[in-house]
Amino acid sequence: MNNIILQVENLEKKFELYLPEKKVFFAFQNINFNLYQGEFFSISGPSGSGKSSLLKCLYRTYKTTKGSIFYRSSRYGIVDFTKLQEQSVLNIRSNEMSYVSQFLNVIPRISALNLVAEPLIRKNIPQGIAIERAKEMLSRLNIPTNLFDSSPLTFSGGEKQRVNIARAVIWNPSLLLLDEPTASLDEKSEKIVKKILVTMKKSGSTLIGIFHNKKLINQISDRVFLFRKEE
Amino acid sequence: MTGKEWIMNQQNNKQTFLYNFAYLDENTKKEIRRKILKAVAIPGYQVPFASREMPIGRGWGTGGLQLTLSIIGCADTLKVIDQGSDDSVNAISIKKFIQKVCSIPITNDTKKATVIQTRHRIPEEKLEKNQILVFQVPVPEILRIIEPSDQVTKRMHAEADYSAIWLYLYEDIIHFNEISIGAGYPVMVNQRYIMDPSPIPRFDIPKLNHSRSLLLFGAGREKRIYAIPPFTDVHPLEFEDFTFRTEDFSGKTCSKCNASDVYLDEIIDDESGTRSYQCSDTSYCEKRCQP
Amino acid sequence: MSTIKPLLSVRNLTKRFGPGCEDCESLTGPTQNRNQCPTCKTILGCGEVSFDLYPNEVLGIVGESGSGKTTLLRALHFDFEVTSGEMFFSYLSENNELTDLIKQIQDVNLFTTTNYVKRKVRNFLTGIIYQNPLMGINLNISAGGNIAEKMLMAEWRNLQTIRNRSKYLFQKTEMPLERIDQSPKDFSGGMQQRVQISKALASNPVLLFLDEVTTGLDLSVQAGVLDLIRNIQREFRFSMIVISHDFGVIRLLTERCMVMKNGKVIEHGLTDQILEDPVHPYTQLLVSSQL
Repeated sequence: MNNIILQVENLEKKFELYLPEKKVFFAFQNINFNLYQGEFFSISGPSGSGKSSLLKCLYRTYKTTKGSIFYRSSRYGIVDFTKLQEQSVLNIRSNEMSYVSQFLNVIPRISALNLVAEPLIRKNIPQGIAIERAKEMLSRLNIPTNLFDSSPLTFSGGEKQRVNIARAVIWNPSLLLLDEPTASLDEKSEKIVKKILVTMKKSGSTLIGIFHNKKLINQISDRVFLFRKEE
Repeated sequence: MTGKEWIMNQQNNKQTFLYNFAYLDENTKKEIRRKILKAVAIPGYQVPFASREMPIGRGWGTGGLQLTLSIIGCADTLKVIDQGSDDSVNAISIKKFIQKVCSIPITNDTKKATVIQTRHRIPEEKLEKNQILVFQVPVPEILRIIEPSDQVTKRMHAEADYSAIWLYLYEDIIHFNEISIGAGYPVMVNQRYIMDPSPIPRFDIPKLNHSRSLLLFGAGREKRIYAIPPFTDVHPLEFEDFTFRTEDFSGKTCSKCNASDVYLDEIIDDESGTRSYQCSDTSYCEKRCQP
Repeated sequence: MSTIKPLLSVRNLTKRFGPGCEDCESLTGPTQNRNQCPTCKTILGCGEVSFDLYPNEVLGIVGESGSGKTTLLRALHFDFEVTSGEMFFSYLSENNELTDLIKQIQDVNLFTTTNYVKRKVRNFLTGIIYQNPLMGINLNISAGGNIAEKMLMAEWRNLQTIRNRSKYLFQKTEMPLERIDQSPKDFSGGMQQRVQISKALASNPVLLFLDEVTTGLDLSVQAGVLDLIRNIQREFRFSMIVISHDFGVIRLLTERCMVMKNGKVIEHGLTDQILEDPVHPYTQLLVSSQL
């Protein structure tokens, strides 16, 4: 039991939309699983089954409507992440837990290099060192050097996604949530990303991710959680 | 003499009651004394008072006069100066009036006076604990240069919101490399209120700090009394790297008494155009000239 | 659990404009969809607002015009007396000059303290950037003087330090240094806003208030100003409260935000959660109304 990092109990996400008129539907209901320290956990299932919503609930981008997510934080101990104070959630997000979204969602006008260095600077790493490490990470992910100073919003889909991964991975979070990070990558880039994820796992990080590529799932995950579409 | 009902007119060798001692009625004196006590209790704070009509015009020292008349007693000796001079019109007429309504001794000697009423100067000779210096003040509100509304300046004093006056000094220095305020340089009293010292020259400002005598300020037209009790911190506003400077008389001496560490008046001879200097404090100069 | 103390704690802050009556409580607010009490015509500025702000944190307040955002901000800046509520400031500093002030405000409800203390808090610990730069800067004073004023408010008394800091901020806000002694009268709106930003930051505040800072600026200038604020906040790590009707601004600058309607907070949360999973129908409307 000691090495459980995340314990999901009876989780439910219900949406109540008021526009244009009131409409209620469930993203998922009654989800239970444990996540163990250092494992690679994959979530699989048909599209629209609520996988992304689950991941967003784990990151608190979505408000959970029922159930609990017990998270073992190095800073706060075991906490119910669904009810944790916002300030503490932000703290965990910048020190322990990272999230790779399906699409790169960043502010325009900021260079790829600065975007990737940002999480390090937030952790009080000196600017110079942060920039150096960001350069290294971008190079590892095969982003051409001449793009470093441009905003990733002008990049191709694959490049964007690699910047997205670089941002999430560079500061070695202990828990990494991945929402289809390899969807728009070619085979070569996918291999690089896979290598990076495996290295992270080896260094002790726990990973939970949604992937479409069955082959990839089989190659890297320790366990797979199968989602069924709600009827 | 008890001073309560004082007899003044001696025409026809008949004594008649014409004026109360020191002209003001006792209730007025009482009010002014109360306001003085309040002013002493809150150094630098302007206390409003019911300024009376006086037999001289407002703006001719009525504030100082009312203070003097409220505090003076039969045992006092009075000196009145105007810009350092004992013999100018304003000083003479005030002296005459006070003598008429109090019949107390008048002196030119700073050391002998117990109450000194002054316009725009502090005597050169150091004042002592038993002496009171009464200033005539034309405009008591130092913040008037930056703020026309009385309501606002009151609030500024209450909250010690003094950045505007500091900014005024700052802009002066930036544009002219000098602070353009000469006489009446703003001072901070007891680390709390910024105060107008009345239009005394900068030369006299350091004398306000830890003065041994009580300093009272009266503005008759503006109806305000304020005070600096003895041994109070009084500092001119200054920047660490642009400190307060007094008028510079180095190399100049009084042409009459040869004094060098005093405030000097410049005298230009109309015919020859030559410049010479004389003590502004006339009684001090005379004292030095006596053998 | 967390041992970090909030920098600012606000509890049940209510501001009503008008006499108030028994019906006010039940007849105004988001459930009634109105700000004005139909019985006594009193306007609810903001009602029962509570929140904590932590060191180095940026809190957004979003809502349509008339929702009470600006009233809330002005109340925190002590621009007027509040009807009821509590505000605590707990700040630990290595700056010895602030020790007295910090002791004075410890565990004290700042809404009920004296204006003198309020002004000290405002001058030493906070800064504000208004929507209209003319509210924050004085056109009769040079741009450098405007920036200097904030430092003079915080009792900086070294001209060279003040001057260097003004220049540093001028460069930091990408302003041409040769125009520092000109009046902001001749500046463009974006430049005036930059002067206002420099002024607000000049005395190293620990808490900055931003009131719709980019409304009224050209789109390209808006982006520049927002990037500037964002970078400066990251660099100097002060706390900020950002008011805007524009979710774009909130998304760019904040990690946590509150949504206001008819004077009340109807929803609060992490900014990404509010944007992606708004719960309250009104928040859903606001989010969906983004361009």
